[in-house]
Amino acid sequence: MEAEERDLLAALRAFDVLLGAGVGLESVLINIARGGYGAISRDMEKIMDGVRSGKRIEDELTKATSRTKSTGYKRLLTTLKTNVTSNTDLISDLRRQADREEEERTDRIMKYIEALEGMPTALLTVGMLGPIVLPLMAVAPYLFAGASGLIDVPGPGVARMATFGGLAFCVFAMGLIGLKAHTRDPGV
Amino acid sequence: MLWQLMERLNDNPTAMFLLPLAIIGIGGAIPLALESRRRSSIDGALPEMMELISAELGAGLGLEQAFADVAKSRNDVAGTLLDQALVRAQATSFTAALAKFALESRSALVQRVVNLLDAALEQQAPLQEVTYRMSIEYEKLNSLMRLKEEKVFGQAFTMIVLMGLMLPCITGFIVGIFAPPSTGYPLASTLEALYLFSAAATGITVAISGRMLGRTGQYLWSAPTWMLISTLLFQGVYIMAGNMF
Repeated sequence: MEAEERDLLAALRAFDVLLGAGVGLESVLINIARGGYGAISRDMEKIMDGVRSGKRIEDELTKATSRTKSTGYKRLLTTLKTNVTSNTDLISDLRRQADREEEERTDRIMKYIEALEGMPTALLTVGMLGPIVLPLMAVAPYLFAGASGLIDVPGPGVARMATFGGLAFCVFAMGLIGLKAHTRDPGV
Repeated sequence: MLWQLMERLNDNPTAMFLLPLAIIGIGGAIPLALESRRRSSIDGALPEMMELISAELGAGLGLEQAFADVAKSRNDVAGTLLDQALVRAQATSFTAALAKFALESRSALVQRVVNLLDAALEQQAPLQEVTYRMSIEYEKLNSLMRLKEEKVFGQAFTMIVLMGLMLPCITGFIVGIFAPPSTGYPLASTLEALYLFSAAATGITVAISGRMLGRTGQYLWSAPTWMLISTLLFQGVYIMAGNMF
């Protein structure tokens, strides 16, 4: 998930409220650039810095469109640019986009909940197999002490190292399984 | 009895290490839990407050009067904070009171609302429509957050119970049956590794649960307590099972 997508819906609603209240587009951009909308605020600040240095707002919006990887934010910037160049009905366009973003956000949350459903089972499997199987390895040299001529039994030191390594790997694997909770977070 | 327990604790270096951390952790987790509850109470009250303000504005009252009425009509944290801010505003201005309310709420939602209201006030915009739309928007957001919390909390709780309480009991019991102290196997270092494993597995699970609920900080502070419980449970069940069979 791109950084801009976290605050996109809030920024779209802010655009809607402020434009609907009769505030001009540049003032809205300045307001959003003041902060509170994360990566979007920072990007709007760059746009306004460019405008203040004498560049055209549509050029700055085009530049920002090429900078971002977020499709939703790209769509917002394109809508703003089209409004500047062709004087479209910006408020209704943004409202439609906000409604679409809202649906997508709900879908993302549902997918996140679904993705987490198997996590307790996966964690328990790894967490349980490790401490049950690996201590047997540590005990093996003593259990099979009398059969060292028949089967190849590792020494106590090797068995202990294998047990510790295995337990450390289990903890690492649990961390990897849990990483999904972070990487798939829709960020509401 | 107490000395015996202390002696047992001596065999578990992980527990000895975690004991002071757990005490410190509880001290860190409680304020964060209280803050989280306070903030969710303010966020939850926001849509209702906005709707009430919109209704008051529709009835012909001014924004300041509408805010004052809302503050008086609520006896929760948001109402108290707003009331305090408005009392202080008598010596400053209404905009300063709103800024104070936003700052003291420590809520990103409230800060966004106040920022938007401030901009709308500057432009003399129709505030009734603005506040009404905000109330609907934040109501939707709050219900979505509630839905996420309800669904994810069950999984997070299950994970902590399974990994922090059930797993050490089961593994401690199995290890206790098959390799009790009476067998004489030199397993002291393996047991120490298992004590550490119980604690580490629980710590990771608590951190994952916290991340799932969006309260990583609060859960990380409480992690040493869960880790201590887990490693002590493992040790206790191992000793009990070892002595029984």
